[in-house]
Amino acid sequence: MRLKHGLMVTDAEGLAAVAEQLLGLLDKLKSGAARTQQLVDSSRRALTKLTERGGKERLSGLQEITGIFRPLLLVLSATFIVSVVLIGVCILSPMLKEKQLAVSVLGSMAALSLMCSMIVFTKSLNVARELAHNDDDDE
Amino acid sequence: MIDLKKLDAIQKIAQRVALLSLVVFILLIAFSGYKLYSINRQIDDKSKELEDKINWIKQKDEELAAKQAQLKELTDKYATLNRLYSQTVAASPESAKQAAVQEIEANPKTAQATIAVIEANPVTARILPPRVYIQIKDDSQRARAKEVVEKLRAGGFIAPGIEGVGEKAPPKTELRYFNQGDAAINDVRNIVEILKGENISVKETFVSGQENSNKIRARHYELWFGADFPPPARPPYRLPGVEKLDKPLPIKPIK
Repeated sequence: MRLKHGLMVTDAEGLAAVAEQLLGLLDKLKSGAARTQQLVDSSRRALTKLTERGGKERLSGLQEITGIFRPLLLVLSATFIVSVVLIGVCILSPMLKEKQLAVSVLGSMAALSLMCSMIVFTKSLNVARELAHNDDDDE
Repeated sequence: MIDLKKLDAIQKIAQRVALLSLVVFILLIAFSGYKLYSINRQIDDKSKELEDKINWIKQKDEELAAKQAQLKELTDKYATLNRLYSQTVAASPESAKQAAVQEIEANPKTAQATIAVIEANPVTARILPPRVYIQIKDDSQRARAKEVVEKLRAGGFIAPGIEGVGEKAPPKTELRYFNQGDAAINDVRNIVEILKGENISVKETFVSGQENSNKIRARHYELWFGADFPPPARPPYRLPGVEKLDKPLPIKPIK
């Protein structure tokens, strides 16, 4: 006898083993659902912090939303800050010959890193929003 | 409860910032490209200019080498001629002089070029005879100046002629010299002696800054007669004890 989900029963004795497997699967599904619920809750909390509160709470909400892309965002932010600092150094340095070229290259780097940061932020916001929205639908 | 309107607004702001950053990025990249292009063009121009300069220097080097070769050739010729001249003069001074004059008359251009080369070189210029140019204020001084010229020529100086300079003439007669070497000091002393013999007092003036000049050769002097020239004639010789002769002294016939 062949059942769905790759379970196979050759005789009546095999039913007990299949029952065990099915129970294990049920447990796994339950824990997955709990984790999903946890994720949804955290997204909802983060979005609420971002939209309704101010100051530190908003920053913490932002951190929670962009949690998945944090390493990328850190690299982009660091690039942006370094570019801006170097632009200042170039403007103030009297020794630099091609000041305009250096400033424009560093400026383009800063603009690119800012653009990427904004795209990543928007993307994380969309993901969080989608998770929260799905939960609303489920309810 | 999530404030969706506020969330939309935040998202829109983020998108606009991203878009603005993209525009800024494109503009700055375009500007950087333009700057790079102009720098490359400048480098090309400067390279071309440098190449032209190098070619010019090469050309000048070649010209210099040619001139040096020419100078060496002329110096050798001069040395040979000088040696031959010395030998000939030692053998027969008069015929040597005549031969030299004939040679100069036959080839005036070559002779002039040779003199120019000798004059241009400070080492060879020393062997040239001293030369004095005479400057007078006006024609009233010319006759007396001619006498001085003759005296100078007789003293071994070359005196090419007399030049009228008008108001440029100094108030007092000056002897201008342009070098302070032994030969120059000796020449100046000789000129002053000759002028003293003519009852002419002269102020010796050294003109600095011409020691290495190509325009003024070695042993070149200028005698500028001032307003005090010609000097008053010497008083006539008087017999001692005789103030004035009212009438000529009686001449006694010799018996």
